[in-house]
Amino acid sequence: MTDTVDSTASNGSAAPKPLMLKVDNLTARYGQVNVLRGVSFDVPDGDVSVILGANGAGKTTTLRAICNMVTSTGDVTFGGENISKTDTANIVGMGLAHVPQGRGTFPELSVLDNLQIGAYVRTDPIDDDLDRWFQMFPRLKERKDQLAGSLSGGEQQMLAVSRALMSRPRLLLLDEPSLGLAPLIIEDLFATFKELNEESGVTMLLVEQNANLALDLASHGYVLEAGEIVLEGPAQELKNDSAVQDAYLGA
Amino acid sequence: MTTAQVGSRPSWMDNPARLITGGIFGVIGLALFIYILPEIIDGGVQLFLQRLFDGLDNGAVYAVVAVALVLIFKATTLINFAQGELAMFGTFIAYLLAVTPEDSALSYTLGWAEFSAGFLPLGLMAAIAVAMAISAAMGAAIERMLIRPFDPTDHLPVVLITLGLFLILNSVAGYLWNFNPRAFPSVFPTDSDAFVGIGGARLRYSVIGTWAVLGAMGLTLWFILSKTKIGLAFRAVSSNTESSRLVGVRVGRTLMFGWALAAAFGTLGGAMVAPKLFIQPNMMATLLIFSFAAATIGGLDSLQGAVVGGIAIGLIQSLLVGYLGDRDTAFNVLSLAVAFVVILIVLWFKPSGLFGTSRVERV
Repeated sequence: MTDTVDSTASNGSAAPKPLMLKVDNLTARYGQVNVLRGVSFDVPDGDVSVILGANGAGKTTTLRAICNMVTSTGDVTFGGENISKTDTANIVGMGLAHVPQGRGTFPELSVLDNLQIGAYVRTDPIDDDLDRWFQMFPRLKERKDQLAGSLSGGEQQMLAVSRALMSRPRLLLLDEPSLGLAPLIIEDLFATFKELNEESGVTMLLVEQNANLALDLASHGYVLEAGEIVLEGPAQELKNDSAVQDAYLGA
Repeated sequence: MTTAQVGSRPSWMDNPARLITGGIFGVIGLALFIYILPEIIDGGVQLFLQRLFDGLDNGAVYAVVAVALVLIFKATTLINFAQGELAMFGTFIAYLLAVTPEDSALSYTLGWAEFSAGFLPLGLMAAIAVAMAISAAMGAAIERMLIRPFDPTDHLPVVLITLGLFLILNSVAGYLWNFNPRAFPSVFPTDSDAFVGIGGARLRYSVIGTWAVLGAMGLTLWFILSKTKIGLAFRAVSSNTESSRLVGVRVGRTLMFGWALAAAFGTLGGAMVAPKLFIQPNMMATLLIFSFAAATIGGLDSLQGAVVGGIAIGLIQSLLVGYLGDRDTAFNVLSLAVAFVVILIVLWFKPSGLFGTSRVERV
């Protein structure tokens, strides 16, 4: 069951944007435990959407189910195509990139190799992309021949994000990018996300516990509790919602 | 930030049991050294060089097979016990393709078809190349049909499968081609004067050739792993399988490629050693043990380590057996045990091997 914060506002009057991602009635289970119990939400083209939720709410599983990394039922439509039965590698090839929780870099590979493998699904030259992300993250350029495993947490997160961007995705899934990072680094990182979204038009679906920053970045938010979307609405309204404030903003 | 270390240097000072074991092996090593030193000095430079060349010869072959083992280990983090038998099978294929029927007197029936060796006589080099290609296909098929269906994080079933393959390949080869040893031709000149004299010792062309083959294999591997897309994918999969899927790598296909490569190189190693060992289904048994030792010393996940380990084992073996074998036949018999002692000593001091990654990750 889904509540909207303010039904008149969230069903806005403007013509709806085309959808980048549509998730319909997604369910997933680990053994006997239902982790997702019919999750449905949309990510409009060009927007940043956020899924908020506590530990164990099913946020990570939602992202993993979207790229078919866990067994699930329900329909996932990406750019108009149903991908619920598509192999993960093919989904990536279609333009979806996933930065997993814990960053998921390749520790035994150099920074440069990490970026190159990020462009695995592409066949065109990647030098311009390398230049671009090195410009955005000069630290990575300094360390391009170092093993990724030797980077600091913040640098690894930069690497994970730029690696995902190397595939020139249309949609970027970010799983708790702020996890384990110092507050200042988190702010930098979110500023980078904003820049990426505004300048490159990359659509993003963000999963976060850090609700404040996430809601500032996103245009639309969903609250996931025990495998169900319990609340949704424009990000600013969620931020002002008293239930959200109590649960996630510590206000 | 916490730092997790796996397989790093043990705190052996805190552990008396380890200290004692290490001490015992250290004493054995030292005793062997003291025992062998006068022999080396008495033998003179010429004999020493000869032992060195012999060791380098065996060492190169151990290195080739150890590299094949390491490739599989990097792909699947398990030891492929069937590596040697795959190499033996491939070597037989090269033999069948190269040798003329008169030379081999080998014919066999497979179902309704009767084959005789040399039904497609190729030059030896071409035969080895074709056999490597066939082995690669076999390796790929084994990965696809016998390894991929199983959960890669559960090692026991997969190890049992490779052990089963070992037995199956060995007995199928015995059934098809029987267990009589046959002479296998060498790619390199084998005339009695085919050597370079260095300090009175004979460095045979075949030794130089085997080293050239090892070098060529190293270059090929380096090129594939660091300059090609599939090589990058292979390194990515061996570093982080899940993230590999998330960047669009087809993990199964990439592992299949690793198996194919390992099988092809194994066959190359088999064809290098066959002229010395003769060809028969059990030819790889001891060779595989020395190659295990080489790979373990090198660190199991390091290709350079496998080469260094192979050379080390070859040298240790040739020096010990060469110098002490005449004096005490036990050393002839014990050369396998020596490999084991070397493994223990190295692992005791450096559990991740000489070149292996002791994983240090920031979490």
